[in-house]
Amino acid sequence: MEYVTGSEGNKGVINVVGDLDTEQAGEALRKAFNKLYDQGQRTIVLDLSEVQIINSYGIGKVLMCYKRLKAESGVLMVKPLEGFVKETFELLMLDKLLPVDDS
Amino acid sequence: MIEREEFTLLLASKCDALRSAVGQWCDAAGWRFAQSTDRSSDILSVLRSESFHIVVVDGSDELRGARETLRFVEEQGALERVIVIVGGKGGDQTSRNLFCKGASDVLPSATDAPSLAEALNRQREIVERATLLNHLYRSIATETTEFILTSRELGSDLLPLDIVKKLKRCQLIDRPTYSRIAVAFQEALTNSHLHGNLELESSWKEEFNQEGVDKFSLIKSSRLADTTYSDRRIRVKIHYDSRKLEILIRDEGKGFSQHSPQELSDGQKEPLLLAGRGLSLMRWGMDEVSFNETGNEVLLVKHFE
Repeated sequence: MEYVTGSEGNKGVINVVGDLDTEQAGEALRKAFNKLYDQGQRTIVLDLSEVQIINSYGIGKVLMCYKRLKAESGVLMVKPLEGFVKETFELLMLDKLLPVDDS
Repeated sequence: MIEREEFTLLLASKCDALRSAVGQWCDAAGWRFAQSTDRSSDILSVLRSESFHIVVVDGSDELRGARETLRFVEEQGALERVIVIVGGKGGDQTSRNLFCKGASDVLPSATDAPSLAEALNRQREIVERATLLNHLYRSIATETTEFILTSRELGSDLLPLDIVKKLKRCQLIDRPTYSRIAVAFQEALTNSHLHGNLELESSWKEEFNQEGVDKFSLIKSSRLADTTYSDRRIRVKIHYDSRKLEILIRDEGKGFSQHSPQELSDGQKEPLLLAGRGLSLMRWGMDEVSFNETGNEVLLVKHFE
């Protein structure tokens, strides 16, 4: 499983496809993040618009990305959220942590 | 005997040729044929007033109507099969995105009659078979499934939650409810497996080695290879009757202090960065979450009206 990475201006972007609810999905996110991080990206945007379900596996990896960037004064952002993922983020107050990139 | 249901199709298009072709298909199939324009406001207005078995959205001019239709169907947890005609726009990436959003079929052209008929026939077969199954699932009085397996056998797999899928399929629960139950179950199972049987600490997720791999993942791998931990069993019992769903999960770990688990409280102002999210997700998805005295057995209950 692999997620496509890219860049938009000075931001790295990770396009997550499918559910973020298994170890494999979490590992794929970690690898995609590391790829951008190792390239020197310190503003990274997660596109979760095609994610139907997220649980602790996925959230844990998202928070890992958040903490690693924060430690270097970087920023983890998300594309506008919707549906179940949006509800989950709001329940766990992650929407307060991760700014939305609606560019 | 199961009463024959009237099957209905909605076509959202301004194209006369397409309307004629789909109308003829419906006549031949004995389906009721409804129409709207391809504007998203018109489509949603019709969908809000009635349900259809198949929706064909003509996206030849623009795909906004198709995207809004897919979003509506997904949010409602509805069972409509949605065929999208992209009219040559966007290529493979567009088609892939539409499938990810829930499209049942994506056709490149509105004027390719054999492809359209093939797609309609394919979706019709799926709908008619699903309708029969839905009648059967609505009749389920009780269902109990029990799994007993070791943590090594479980590994990274998720156990199937078939009864809940059946309830969603026959619309006894909507999609958001299904998602919350599924997540609650996954959280409880993961807790039993990782924190119960394998005795992994959440704080280890914060410690990284030079390769950027966390201590939690490293120790997890070693404990899965150590039969002292990996041969411990997990028992999962899933019981449904028409009034409630009960999920019982028991591990062979030492248990945990349920009296001081971190989880979101009413006055919580900051997100939980370390641990406790799993319990919050369990309580969000289920009506009752309770533990035994030792803390190695959890009971999740969802009530149905």
